[in-house]
Order: sequence, then structure tokens, then C-alpha cells
Amino acid sequence: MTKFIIRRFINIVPALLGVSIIVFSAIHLAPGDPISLMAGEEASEETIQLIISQYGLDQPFHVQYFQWIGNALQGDFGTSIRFGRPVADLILGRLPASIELAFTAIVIGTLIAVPLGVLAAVKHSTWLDLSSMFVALIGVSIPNFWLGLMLLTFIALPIAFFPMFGREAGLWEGIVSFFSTGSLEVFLNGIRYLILPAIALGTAGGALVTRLTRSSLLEVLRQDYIYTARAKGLKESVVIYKHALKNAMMPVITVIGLRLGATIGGAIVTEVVFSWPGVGRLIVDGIGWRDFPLVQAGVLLIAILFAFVNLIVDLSYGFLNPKIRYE
Amino acid sequence: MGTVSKILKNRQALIGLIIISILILTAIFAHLIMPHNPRETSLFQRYQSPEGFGGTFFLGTDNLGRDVFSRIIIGTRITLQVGLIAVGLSLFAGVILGAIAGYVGGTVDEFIMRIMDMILSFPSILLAILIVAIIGPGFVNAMFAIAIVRTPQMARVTRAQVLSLKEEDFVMAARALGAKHPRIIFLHILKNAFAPMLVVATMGMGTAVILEASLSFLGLGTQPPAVSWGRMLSTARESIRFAPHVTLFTGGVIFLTVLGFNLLGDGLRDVFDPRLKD
Repeated sequence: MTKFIIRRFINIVPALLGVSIIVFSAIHLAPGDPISLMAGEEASEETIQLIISQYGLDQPFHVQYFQWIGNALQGDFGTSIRFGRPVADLILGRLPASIELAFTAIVIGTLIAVPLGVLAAVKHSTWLDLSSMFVALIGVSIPNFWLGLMLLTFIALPIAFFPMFGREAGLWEGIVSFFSTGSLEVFLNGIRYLILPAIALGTAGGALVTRLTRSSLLEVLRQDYIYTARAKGLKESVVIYKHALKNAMMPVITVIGLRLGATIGGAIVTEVVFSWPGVGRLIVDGIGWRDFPLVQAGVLLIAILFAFVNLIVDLSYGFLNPKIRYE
Repeated sequence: MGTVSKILKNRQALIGLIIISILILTAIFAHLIMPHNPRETSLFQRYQSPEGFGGTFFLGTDNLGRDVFSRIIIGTRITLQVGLIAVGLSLFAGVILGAIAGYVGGTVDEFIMRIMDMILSFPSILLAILIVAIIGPGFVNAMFAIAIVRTPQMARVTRAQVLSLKEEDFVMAARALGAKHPRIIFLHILKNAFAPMLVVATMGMGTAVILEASLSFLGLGTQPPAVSWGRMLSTARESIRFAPHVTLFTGGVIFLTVLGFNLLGDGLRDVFDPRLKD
């Protein structure tokens, strides 16, 4: 098992290096001159020279890359052009909001999706099955930003309980405040802001999980050991919930894990719709401001997060299913 | 029963096909169907509510008094164009890369698939955003960005097909008869891998449509005066308080388009590979 983990770890290194090269090249290929952006339109020749040497822009490409990656490995991603503050601080400040949103989206999606998929499989070919699959098909096809706009229009607008945009305290602050003051107010307020963006973001993944749960469970229900269990005279509920579901959940868990990565990506657009102060919106704003250090670091961070989430899913898959474990 | 009649007998595929046919016809005959000039502004007729059939503005007007229905109609062109060309490009690149990787194997395979993995290390919307940020916003650039993002999927499917087919007897036979490698790959192997690739490409159309709409929504895709649904939504967003109809109808059409491609993709998969159908 240790060997397997180490090998998977080594496998993602080249991919991450490639990612970092792609991200780094961005600043050099991008149109618009970052120097004049930093120095301003009417900067003197000396200022420009100072900036060039300060940012090492007179060095060859590969030297600059190694400098950048060396600094990045030490947590220094450069300074934001717009804010004049370290990019790492800006992004870390936004990260909790993004993680909270993606995580809640997955949780909400899963809580609805798995039971719906089980229901569809158990009531195979009935109207319950058909309507669950219809709902899932809609969920897969609905663009998350439009769903977000619809939720704003038809839920947040008429119901004052749901705010139209933004985020106040996070859930974590809410939990901390609960333990220090005994009041759930901060936590519930956090939920108020979180719930609609999380639904918008979680729907597509949830719909996929519903479909997968159904087909996986149907597949398992056809296996011989299910016939055996039924032949033993076990109650149908025991057959389904104790024997079938456990085995059917394997691929479902993998997909839920893999959705986490996709959800972090999908969150970019959702964050813009709901003015959610996360990393995704920061990246989109950064592109508008031509703040390349910010964009670079934000993209790199999400890509790294994505790679690690996928790695963990992979590892836990090997952990759960001894059949696919490497030697 | 022939494949075509099997597809037409599949209810999902048929509904999908109908939706897509309507969209394609709309795009082709846009200028005949549009009741108004989609770019004509009228400050006195801003945010008109939908008037339904027979009214001047069937689906109402937007922030500049432009006819929403006409704009949705002309918008099918950009959407289908971006979708078809982006998926076509990714199909082309993915099939070539995947076929080479699967057929040649060894270091070449390693090299190609590692690059594909690199692309897959980004969430697709993020990579598309990054590419467009590098090469600049716009409809053509968005198309390329989507094509790049979608290529690894096609390469993987092709590679898997090639790997499973290249040891088949008919390939051995072709080789024994002295067929050249490209002939074996393209004539013998890929012909038999056509069905799964068609399914992935159809599903890919839905994804491409969402990606294009997302990029345009963020202001990174199609630029005005070209009309795109994503762009319309980003403008309409500011008026959801008093003119939600623009958002409702524009997004609804994006949804229907994606639904059409997903239905067709699901249906095709069931037809080509009945084992996958529960």
C-alpha cells in the first residue's frame, strides 16, 4: 500500500510541473505590457528599468521560471499589481469561502442524489424511476450560472430570508462562535448566504451521482449473490440496503470525489453570479485588471488543489477496493 | 433493423434530434424568422414585458430595447458554430493523438498521454479561462480554448478503442495482407471505433455549449456586437429585479440546447451499446 501511495504521488509531479509551466507562460504570452501596467502610462525610463530588474524581467525565460517556481515553493507568489499586497495573502484570504461553497455544494448534492438514485433503481421502470431520471437529466443539462440567476430571481427576490449576494461570516466562524458564546446566530446567518449558491453549484454533480447510483445499483442487483440473498429468504430491504448498496456505492464514491475537483472549477462562475468572495471570482476579476501574478497564483492553486483531491480519491478507491490495489 | 431506424425508435435520441434539428434550422434561416433587427436599439422600448404571440415583442425587450426573441434566434448561430467547430477540432486532434498513442504504444504513448493528463489537471472552465486570458477574449479564441480543453477526452476514448481493437483478428489479417499502418489505423480500427466516439462527441457538444456560454457570461467569450446567449445573460443579470424575462428565456434556450445534445448522446449510447442500458 505504501508503495502504491508513493507511486501515485510521484505520478502527479510531472503533471503539476507541466501545469506550472503553462501557468507561468501565461504572463509572457499575454497581450498587454505588464510593465507599463505596473509603472503607469507616464513612467520614466528609470522607473521602468527598476521594475524590469526588480521582477527579473531582463532574465531569460527559463531563469525567470525557476526563480518563480523556487519562490512559489517557499510560498512567495509575488505581489499583486492591483493591491500591492502579496498574492499568497489575498488568495489564502479568499480560500475558505471557496472551499466552504464547493464542500457544501457536494454535501447537498450527495444528500439528495444518492437516495434519489436508490429510489429509482429499487422502483425500476416505474413512474418514480422515470421522474427521478427526468429530474436528473434536467440537472445535468442546466448551466449552473443560469440556475443561480433563476434562484436569485424566483427565490431570493421574493423571500427576504435569502440575501441577493455576498457572504458574511463563514460556517467555521459560526461553529467557533457557537462554542464560545453558545449562540447559533452566526452559523445560521452563514447558511442563509451559502444555501442558494451551493444549490446552484451542486445540482449538476448531484444529477450525475443520481444517474450513477441508479445504474450501479441496478448492475449489482443482477449479481448472483443478490439471488442467493433473496433465495435465503432475506427481506427485500435487507437485500438492498445491506448487501447491494454497499457494493453499488464504490463507483459512486469515486465520482463524488472527482466531482469535488470539477466543483471547484464550476465554482468560478457561481461565485461571479452570487458575488461570492472566493478564489474563482478573484481570478476572473484579476483577468479584468490584468493582474497577472494574482491570476497565475490563483490558477496554480486551484490546479494543485484539483490534483490533490483527485489523488486522494484515487488512493481511497484503492483503499476501499482491494481488487484494484497495486501489488 | 438499421442503425438509423434504431436511433429514431429510441425516444430520448428522437427528442434530442428534434431539438437539435430545430436549432440548426433556426440558425440557418435566422434572417427569415427574426421579427426584428436583433441589434436595433430603442430607448423608448426598454424592458418591455413579453407580449406573447401576436404582440410586437414576443419575448419582450432588453436593456437597450432590443427584441429578445430575435436576439435568441441570431444567437443560435454563435452557439452552434462554437460548439460544432470546437468539438470538431477536439475530435480531430484527439483522434489523431489517441490513435497514435494507442497504436504505437511505449514512450510515444507515455508522452502523449502525460500531456493529456496535464490538460486534465485543470478544471476545464479554469483552463478555458486561462487560455482566453492569454490569447485574448473573443469568439474564435473561445472556440480554440474549448477545443483544447476537450481534446484529452477524445484522445482517451480513441486510445482505449485502439488498444482494445488492435489485437483483434481482423487487424491481424489486414497486417498479414501487408496493409500500411495509417491504413490499418484509419480504415480498420477507427471505423469500428466510430460509435463510442460519436457518443462522446455528442455529449461534448453539450459541454462545449455550456463552456461557451460561461466564457461569454464572464465577458471572455463572444464580444459585442456579435450576439451570444452567455453575453445576453450577463447583461440581463443586472435587471433581474424588474425584467427577469430576459434571463429566463435566454438561459432557458441554453438549457434546452444542452438538454438536446445530452438526450441525443444518451440515446445514441443506448443504441450502440445496449449493455450500458441498465
